[in-house]
Amino acid sequence: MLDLIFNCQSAACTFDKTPTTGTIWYQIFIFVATIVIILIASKFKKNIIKHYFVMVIGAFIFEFFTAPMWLNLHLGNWAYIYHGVSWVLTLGLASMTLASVILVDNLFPKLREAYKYLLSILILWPVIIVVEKFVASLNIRGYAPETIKAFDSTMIPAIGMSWLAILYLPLLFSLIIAFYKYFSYSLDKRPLVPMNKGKFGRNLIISLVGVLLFELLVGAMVDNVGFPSWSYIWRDITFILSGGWVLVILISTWFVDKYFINKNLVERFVLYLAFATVIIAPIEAWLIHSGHRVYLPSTVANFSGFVVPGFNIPVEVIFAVPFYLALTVAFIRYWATIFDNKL
Amino acid sequence: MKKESKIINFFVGLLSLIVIVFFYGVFTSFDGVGAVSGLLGFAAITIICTAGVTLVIWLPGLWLLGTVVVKIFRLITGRKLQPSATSTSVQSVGSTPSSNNELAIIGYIVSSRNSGIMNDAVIRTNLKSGGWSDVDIDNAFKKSAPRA
Repeated sequence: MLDLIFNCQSAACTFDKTPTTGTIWYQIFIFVATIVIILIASKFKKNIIKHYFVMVIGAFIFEFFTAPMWLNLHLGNWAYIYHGVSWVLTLGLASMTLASVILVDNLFPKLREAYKYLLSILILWPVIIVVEKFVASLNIRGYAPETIKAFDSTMIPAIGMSWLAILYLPLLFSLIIAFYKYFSYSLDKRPLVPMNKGKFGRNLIISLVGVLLFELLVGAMVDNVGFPSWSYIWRDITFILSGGWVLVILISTWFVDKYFINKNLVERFVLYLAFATVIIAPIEAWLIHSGHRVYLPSTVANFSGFVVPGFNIPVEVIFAVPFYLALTVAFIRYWATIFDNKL
Repeated sequence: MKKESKIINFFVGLLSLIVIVFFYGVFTSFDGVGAVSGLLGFAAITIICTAGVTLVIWLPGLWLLGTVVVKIFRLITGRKLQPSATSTSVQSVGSTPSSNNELAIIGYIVSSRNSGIMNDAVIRTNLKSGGWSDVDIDNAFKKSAPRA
């Protein structure tokens, strides 16, 4: 849609969008399944449309900002919102995730939140493997060369996927579900204890996990180069950079929770992102210019060519920072919230 | 928040952004004025080329930045923060809260009572586990007593 408005002619927009009978039926299935899931879920959850909307935002952020890693082909012009990002597939991802979360919430209402969260991911894991295989068989799904390289590992014969790809799939749900759950507390008007003293050690560990999850998710889009060899944890994930992001997020969340404690969950979330973005954006610009952050060819191909004056980096990078942070910070705050409130 | 305050915060945000970009330009390329003019040009292009759609990002963004700057200024100068109009949960309670901490505790007490799933003893226990002192909790309970 936006590509038509802006008359995009780059390689990122000119892939094969011609629909096939199979892809049309698949999209019809997604619409029908979405309606059925919303209708059934509305019996168990108030404000289901708002809940679904939050899930769609979480799924969209993931789809939109990891778009250079995937190709979504043959869906028809109507199905694309920007470059290869398909709103139909986003609805499908959001619907299956919401179905799993609500299923677990209602089957095991007494279970601790942490277990519900893990159970939802466990249910979605085989489902997303089947879905991924299915969309590949319909020639909808293709992969950028960097993604194929990143997932290059021993194939699991029974599943027909490399073990790295199989491990990657549940990671995306770990961030999307945390994003949804965090905002669902606000939608459900659940009272949450304001914390006078945060638990630094625990928050540090949660932040580290959140940042590492994120680094794993976008690993095929950007390379971290030129750091001391001892600092690399796995592939290009470096202790120095990840530690820096953790520090920025910890400082931002601590500052907002201390001085804006009276604000509600959503307002504080916006403030977390605003503070962290103000700190991270110039750091990211410096890292790009100094050659420590190298965006890979498929990612660069998605850039529009506009640069942000002053920073002199692609406009997509600056806009991406708060959105990337949205998933990571939501994950971190979700876990801190369930521990603080013993949920 | 009053309309005048919102407008003031917006302009504070605009000014702050210009100052930040100016110093960023000075530190990175010794050209603060160039960086600011680049910023203004970029803003103009994004607004004009999208027929004003990007104002959805610019206006709240500048307001948010201004609000944060004003808050920090008040914290540094020691001025007490006024109760936020967004804290709807404490609007219907007794005497006026005097700090953000107190607002947060009262907000929790009121929302917990409204939810109907917690009595005052449980609310008190939860607040204590949140690191609040008995004095803080007692004061908040007094101020959150519903009007007769």
